[in-house]
Amino acid sequence: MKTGCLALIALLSCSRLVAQSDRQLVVHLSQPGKVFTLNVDIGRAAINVRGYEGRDVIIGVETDERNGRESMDVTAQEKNNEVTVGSLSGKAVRLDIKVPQTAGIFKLSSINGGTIMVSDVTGNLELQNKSGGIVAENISGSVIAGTLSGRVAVSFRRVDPSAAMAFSTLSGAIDITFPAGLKANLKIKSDHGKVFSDFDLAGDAAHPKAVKSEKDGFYHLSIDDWIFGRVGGGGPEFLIKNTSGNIHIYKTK
Amino acid sequence: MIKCGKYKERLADWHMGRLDTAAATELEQHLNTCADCRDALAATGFVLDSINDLQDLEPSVHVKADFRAMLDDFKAAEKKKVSDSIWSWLLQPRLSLAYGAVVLLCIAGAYLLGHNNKQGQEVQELHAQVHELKQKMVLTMLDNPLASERIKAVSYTNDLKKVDNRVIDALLATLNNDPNVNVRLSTLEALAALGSHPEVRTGLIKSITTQDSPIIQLAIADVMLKLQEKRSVGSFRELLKQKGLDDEVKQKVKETITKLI
Repeated sequence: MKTGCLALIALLSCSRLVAQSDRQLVVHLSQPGKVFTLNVDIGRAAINVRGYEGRDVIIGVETDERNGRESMDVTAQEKNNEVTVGSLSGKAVRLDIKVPQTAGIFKLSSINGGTIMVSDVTGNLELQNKSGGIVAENISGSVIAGTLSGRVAVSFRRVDPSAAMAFSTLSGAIDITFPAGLKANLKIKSDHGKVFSDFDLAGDAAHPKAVKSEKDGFYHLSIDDWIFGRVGGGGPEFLIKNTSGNIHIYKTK
Repeated sequence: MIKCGKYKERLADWHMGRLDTAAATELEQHLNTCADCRDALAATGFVLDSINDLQDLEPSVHVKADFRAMLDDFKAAEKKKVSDSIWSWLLQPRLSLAYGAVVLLCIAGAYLLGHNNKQGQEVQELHAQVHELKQKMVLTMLDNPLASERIKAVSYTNDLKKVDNRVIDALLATLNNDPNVNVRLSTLEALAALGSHPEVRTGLIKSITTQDSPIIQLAIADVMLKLQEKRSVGSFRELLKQKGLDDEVKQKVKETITKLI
């Protein structure tokens, strides 16, 4: 067992009981079954969130082997079904968070702690990383994912038909898998990579590929390098953008 | 003729079914024998029916044209009839009724035209209200805590035919302050589409040095190239002086400056 001082601090505004093992915080939602919110904003955290058949939010905390001897702390606060996980010291941690499978709002952000992973959850996901990839699997709902360095891979079990989405990375591939019945207006651009799609991207008359214009005798020809495509007759806007790396839009087989 | 005067007063009431049975029978018997009164009845009936119909018409350009044509025909017909003698025309009670009918039709016509204009105004007002509502919806949604809703608000601006300064200011504020990079990215693209507004161009140029995400810095360079905005060169030179600027951004900004000057 790793030695060292491990402090888990739970701040619960509504004085709810927190069952706490050595490396685990169990947070009871004040309104179980209702839409909950999970906020995680830790600079150096690898975040793994999984849906499970339970009513509590269970936060497992690991430190990196190399930092095993260092102290670390993680805080969790619950208020009106909103759980906010933070760190007072800003030391590198790995969070393994289990959440109920009822609908939730997930706002997870890290800077350089590793990959942000989410799986088997329902709801609205906002995932922001800087130096690290983003992986979301078996999602029912909507995803806004952005990182600077790393791959963005998202697969949906079901898509919220009214939600706008966006996926971006500076250097890294983007792989997104949507169910076959998708209805969306895709807006895709890869500066140096290629774009592949299983879906037919119906051209959008409002955005011709080449634009010719003439003003005061000055002729200008520009190619709009964004790809605009309506899928399934169109729907909310999905923006997909990277600089280097290919973009793949897959259809669930 | 003196006798006819009494009956003519009752023609409108008879037409609208307001006479009691005895009076109606008396008038009908008279009508059987008097061609003059039958003509007068036809004119009265025409005027009353026209007025009744007007209330039910859907005023349109065609109706306006039809109505004018009808009015012109009516005038022409009457003119032909009275061309023999202006005096006989003035003295004929039948035509004086027709004259009255023309005046009535003119009033009704004026009402119809006025109503038409009024409806046109109402449609315009309705359009303006819908536009205002859409803009308000965009402004409200831009404050939504969910990034997905804010991106949706930004995408709605593509559907607005005109945007006023409130929306432009809100989009620029979102571009500069939104905590989510993807919201800022989609806002930048929406603003690029509004490049014909001078305020948008000025706002974008100012924004160049305030953006800290390389993905936005690269995208804004693309937008300035697309808009051929030479005034952005100064801001890009400022950006190049920033410490810790991403290498790829540095390269792109240098290329952008070269292409713009």
